[in-house]
Amino acid sequence: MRLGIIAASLLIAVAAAAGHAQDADTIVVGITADLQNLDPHNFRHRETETVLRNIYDGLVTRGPDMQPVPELAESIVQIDETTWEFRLRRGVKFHDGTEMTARDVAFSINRYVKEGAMGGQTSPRKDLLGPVTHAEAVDDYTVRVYLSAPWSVFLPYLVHHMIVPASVGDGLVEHPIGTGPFRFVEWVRGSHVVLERFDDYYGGAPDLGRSGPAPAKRVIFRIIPENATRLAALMAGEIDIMANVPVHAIADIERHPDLELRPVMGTRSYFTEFNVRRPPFDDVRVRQALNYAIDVDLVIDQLLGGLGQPLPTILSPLSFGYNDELEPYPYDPERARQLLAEAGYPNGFEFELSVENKRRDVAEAYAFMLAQVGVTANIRVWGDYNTMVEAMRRGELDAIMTDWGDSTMDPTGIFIPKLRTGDRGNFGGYSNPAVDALIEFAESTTSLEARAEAYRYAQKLVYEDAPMLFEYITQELYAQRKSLSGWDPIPDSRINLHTAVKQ
Amino acid sequence: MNAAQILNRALQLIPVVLGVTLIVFALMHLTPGDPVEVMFAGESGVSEEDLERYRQELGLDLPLPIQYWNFLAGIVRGDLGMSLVQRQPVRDLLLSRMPATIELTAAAILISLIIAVPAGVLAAVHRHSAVDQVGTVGALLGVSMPDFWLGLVLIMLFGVRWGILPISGRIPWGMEPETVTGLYLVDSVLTGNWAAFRASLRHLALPALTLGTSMAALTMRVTRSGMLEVIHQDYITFARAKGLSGTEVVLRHGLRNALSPTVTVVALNIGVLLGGNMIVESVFAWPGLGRLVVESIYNRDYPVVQAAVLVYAMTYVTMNFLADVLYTVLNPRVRF
Repeated sequence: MRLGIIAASLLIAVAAAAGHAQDADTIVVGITADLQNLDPHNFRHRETETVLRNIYDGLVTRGPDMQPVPELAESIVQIDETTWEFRLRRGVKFHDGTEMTARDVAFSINRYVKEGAMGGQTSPRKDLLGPVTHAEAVDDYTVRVYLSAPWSVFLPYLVHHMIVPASVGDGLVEHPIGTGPFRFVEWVRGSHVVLERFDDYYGGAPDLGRSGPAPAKRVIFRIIPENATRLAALMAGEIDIMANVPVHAIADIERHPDLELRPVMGTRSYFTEFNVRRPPFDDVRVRQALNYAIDVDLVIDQLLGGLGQPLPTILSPLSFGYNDELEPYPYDPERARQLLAEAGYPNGFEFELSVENKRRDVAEAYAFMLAQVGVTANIRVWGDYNTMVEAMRRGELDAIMTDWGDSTMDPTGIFIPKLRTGDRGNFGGYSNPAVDALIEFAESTTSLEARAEAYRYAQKLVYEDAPMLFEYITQELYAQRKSLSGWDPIPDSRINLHTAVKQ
Repeated sequence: MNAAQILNRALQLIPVVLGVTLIVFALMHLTPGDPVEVMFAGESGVSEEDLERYRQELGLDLPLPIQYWNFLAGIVRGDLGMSLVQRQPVRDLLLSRMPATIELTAAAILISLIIAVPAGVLAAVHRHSAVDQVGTVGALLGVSMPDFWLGLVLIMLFGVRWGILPISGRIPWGMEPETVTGLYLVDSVLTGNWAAFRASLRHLALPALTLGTSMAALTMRVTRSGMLEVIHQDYITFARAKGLSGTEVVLRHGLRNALSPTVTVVALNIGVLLGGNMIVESVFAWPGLGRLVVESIYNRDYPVVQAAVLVYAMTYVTMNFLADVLYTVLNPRVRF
């Protein structure tokens, strides 16, 4: 035993012999999950986009108000309903020193939308370009993109697409080459990705007020899945930016002299879907009653550290066509009891509330509030999201607490898959022909105003139908060391480090 | 054990490994949600036809027996398939994560042995003494402390409060030694890169201590029981009667015979640890096998999970086999 203690302390003493110094030119970001791969055409994954968007630029990016602005494009003209023309910036260089031309842009878009264009496989990002059929280079600096049908949200979706060199093609899997502010150095799986400043960077989107190469010499994204460890690494100065700060860490960060909390409106809506195919949730009065019975503000305040906003439906306030005339259901237990009585449940009823472990605390709060109006919610905790959702899709569950992310800030990203009859995210079986008709109209009209109006009206219908217990949209929480400046979190979860500086 | 016996034992491994792959294959495919659905879950617009096309491209629309057959046929060719999510050869993915896990396993086993064997012997020799009591309580503590808790406490103390040890990862960027084996400690010694040696030792310290502590507890108890059994044997009494010193009797005559159960426990532990410890790897952001496999299960990345389980089964069975062989070396009376 004594020997063991001596040996163990010896090991620690040797290991502890020198402290670690952090390079001031290097910005380190702690993220939660490893990248899926390095090919910008071959992923549907948040962390992968977070990192790759520092290597690659797109034709457009998001401006300060989240609307699309030109990035590699200089100007954008819609020639007719289904043809768009992009004039490109001149003199933009890829990381291998070659100049970016219209040929590269056309190649990139075709690699997204053509079936089997990615070494025999189809890009999983194809449907993020909807009806785009192909692109072609008109001359060295002009590209035309052709659509099979009018598509009003072409530009917001184009934000998520990156331009690669035509000469490299499938070799991107191993070594990405882009036109972005940082060039790729190495990726050690499960551990980190290293990027270095690209000295010939053209400067990015003028609308973002940026210019020239990045001030930081090097950027390292480190994969640290455990929240507590990521926080410890931030406290110890191993990382400068921490993504996905858990709510329970807020107090620690606020108290820490070197750290700063950076909240930003998120893109993920939270709600409880009712199984509307069978009693009791086939009755709209019951569904409305539950919406009145829950004090969403209290939950946000007590369980989310105040970092959330109640929603009238499931659409984000930042989304295209958001109906700001709708107010979230107020907390009104009296009204809830009354509606339940009208629906034939004067003494309430009992149902099973399915939830993933991560939101169990919220489920327990809901169960308590529902008990106040006579409704008994038996909480069932699921270990796996997909298993739970499949059971709901088959109509076996009463209600599931879930969420849906929409980084496109458009109804196509959440409203259609969740609320259209039979769509792939519509787990509860909601179906309203009027809503379906409005969606169909909105997706075929070319007038943005008419489209917005159609969605505003559809939201009103959904609000009244209450196929879900509408909850909230959370804020995304980041934290940083105060020694870092020139970086702001943005809602769509990209971490753009072009202007970040460390003292 | 002669060559024929060893071959016989080795051949017995094949049905075991086959059985394991079949069970895992069945379980993975019985779990709701396929990789394509998971990939697009909770995300913006994609149609059912699109999902069906991806399934076709990935070969997921084939009947299950054919998918299983393809998997087996691949193994025979030495091809473990492509990851559905990362779209990289599974072999490369597993190989890239193995060195980290092997290094952590070796360090943890070493720490556990350094603590457990002397502690177990001392506790047995001085049975019911204060040493024994401390050892017993220590073992109970070691076994009771959950790895994630101990890991985080060590991080908070050594990493944040005192700032003397790094918190996460294997080595700072730019310090990696030239790759020979992929094990940083070994490679840095081979290339004479002492800065890298120290850096990787510093990063290894906390995760290895966390993993080693819980293992030391069990190993210590087993060593103690083994030793207790042996020191009451006639030959020990005889050795003492011959007038040999206590220490000599214990170390020369007792320990070797007492170690058999310890060897089994340690070997099986190595078998388990080589699969990667998901919890310790997550807490210390250690890029090992355990995290890859758990992430792959959540992503329904069938080929990665199947291949990893195949490797697990083979490792475990092999370690068990080696333990048996080692038994006969330590104790020639044992025959199979």
